[in-house]
Amino acid sequence: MLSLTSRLLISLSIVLTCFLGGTGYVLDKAFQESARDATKDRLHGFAMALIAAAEIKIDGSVYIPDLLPIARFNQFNSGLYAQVLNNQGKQLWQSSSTSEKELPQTHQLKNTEATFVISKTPSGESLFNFNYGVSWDLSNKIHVYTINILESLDSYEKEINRFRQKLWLWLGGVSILLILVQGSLMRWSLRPIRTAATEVEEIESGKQTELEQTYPKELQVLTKNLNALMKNNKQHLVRYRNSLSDLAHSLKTPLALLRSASESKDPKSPLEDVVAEQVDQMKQIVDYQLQRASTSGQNPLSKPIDIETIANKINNSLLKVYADKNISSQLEIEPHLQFFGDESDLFELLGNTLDNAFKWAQSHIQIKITTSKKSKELRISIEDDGPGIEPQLAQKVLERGIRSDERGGTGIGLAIVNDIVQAYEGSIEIDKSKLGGCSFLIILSQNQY
Amino acid sequence: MRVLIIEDEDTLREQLCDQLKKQGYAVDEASNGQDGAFLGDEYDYDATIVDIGLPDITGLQVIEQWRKNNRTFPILILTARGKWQEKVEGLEAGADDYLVKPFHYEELLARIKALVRRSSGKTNSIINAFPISLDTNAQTVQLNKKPIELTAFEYKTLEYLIMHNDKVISKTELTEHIYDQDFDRDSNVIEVFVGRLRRKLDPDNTIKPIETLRGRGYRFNLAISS
Repeated sequence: MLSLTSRLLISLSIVLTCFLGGTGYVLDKAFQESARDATKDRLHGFAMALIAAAEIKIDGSVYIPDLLPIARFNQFNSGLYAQVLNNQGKQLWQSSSTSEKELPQTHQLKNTEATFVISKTPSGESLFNFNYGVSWDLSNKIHVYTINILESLDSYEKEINRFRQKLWLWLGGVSILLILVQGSLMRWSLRPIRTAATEVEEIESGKQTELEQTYPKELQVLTKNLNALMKNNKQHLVRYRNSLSDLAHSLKTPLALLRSASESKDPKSPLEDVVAEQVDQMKQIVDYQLQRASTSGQNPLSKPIDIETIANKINNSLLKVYADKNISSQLEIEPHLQFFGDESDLFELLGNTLDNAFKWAQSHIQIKITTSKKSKELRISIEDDGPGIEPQLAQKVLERGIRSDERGGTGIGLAIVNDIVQAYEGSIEIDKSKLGGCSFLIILSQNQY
Repeated sequence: MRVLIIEDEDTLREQLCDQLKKQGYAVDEASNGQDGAFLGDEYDYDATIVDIGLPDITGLQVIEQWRKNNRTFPILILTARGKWQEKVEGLEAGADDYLVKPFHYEELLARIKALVRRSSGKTNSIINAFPISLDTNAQTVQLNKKPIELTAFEYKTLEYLIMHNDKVISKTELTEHIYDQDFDRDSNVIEVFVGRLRRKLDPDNTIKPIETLRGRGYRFNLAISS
């Protein structure tokens, strides 16, 4: 893929070429035009001077002195030539500069009529060709003459070339200057990206743990998310590692008990009882550690999840499962409330706390999910009218295996909830509910990026 | 009571069958989703047990198919992962309860009983139809608060009739829900059981708990108090 610098340079060169090329072309055209106009005016002036110097004889012939005040007419091959023709096209006079030069054909013109063209001599030389028609009234006879002034293109072309050289020199200089200025501007604007790349390399080599520099606003979304993602990944890895080693270690106890039971043949604790008990224990351990390892925690790139939909699904499911108990559950959820995190975490969190409430409630459950915008907190309150929890036991129910669950027999639901809440840097408060039973208040911090 | 089990793990399925048969259930089994779905569509079960993780079509699909075909029997799903997302999906698809593997058989039996009771509109495990009282947990029957001795088949016949006290039960239906499939349907054993039940429950022939509707079947006739 093309680098950003080359992209910018290529596009800049294209723009500059079009703009400066266009400008040069237009200026060149305008200059040529005005140079031609100037030549025409000059030749017109020469024609007027010739008319002033000319004398017309009674027979219609023209007399012009040999030495004219315009030196170039007198000089042989000076590049400026003149002739006078009568209305039959017959040459009546030609300047000394003409000598034996063959001049291009010209047309006869009427009085004050003028033409200005570039024409070629029979030998192939290009000349500016100015014709001017003039008439004299001599003894009631009108004589019409055409004054023909010719000038070689040499000086005109020299002038144009000089102008072109200067023009392209300037335009080229300006282009180089612009590219240099733009290049340094580009280096300056792209510097944060280079810094970020260097920092990422440092992170890769383990010298840094996050992007530390301050970045311009446009890049902050990227760098902040990158930092959050790395932090999240690291936490996830730590959780994974911890639960794996916890899993291995905590399975050793039931395994040891099983082995010793198989060897001891103690009549007081028959093998079946030990097996049943330890299998339960092991199941609880596996379930809990699996859940702990799969808790994602806050993930800056996860898509927001509609809380109401999931809460309703879980509530409806539990109403079905606990249909015998005829429980009325009241859900109050702020509309369009969103959870920034993993969907499965939200399912486990709400599923386990609601299941606990349904299990203990007599007939009524109240669920409120609200948010405080200022402090970016998600508050989940679940209350029931069951027997409640003794204050001194409140923290203990959040530990693994304190209360035995009938359904699947693990009693790890609330321990899982506790773990998820910690992964989201939140808190759980257990209190007496005004409904008479237990009140759970879960507060999760919700950092949106 | 006839129960269908769909479970691909052979050992677990056989153990489940044994346990349920020991408790007096008639049991059909299937080791994959397609066979199971077919059985559920063809026969009327009192309860079904469906493993979510089946090899061919998933348990969820089986449940959805049944509910689409208006099969109303209660469904208990078995899940290995115990994830709430999975439980909710199963319950939304039409299951009535869930159980996470591994489980205790007592738990499974309790859930099945509760589901059967719930589906017949009885919320309590003890059903009172004065002067008869039936305890579905202990599987015992009392007459005027005194226990009476019933054989397993007599109990099952009575339980089925009481559970469906609002309708007429044909002999075929009784046979299907009480015996395993290899039972000889032409025999008149049902008539014998009903006759014996009548003598035990109503020795004086005064309360007439079971009514015979000629050519149609039997109906439990006593009012049930909640």
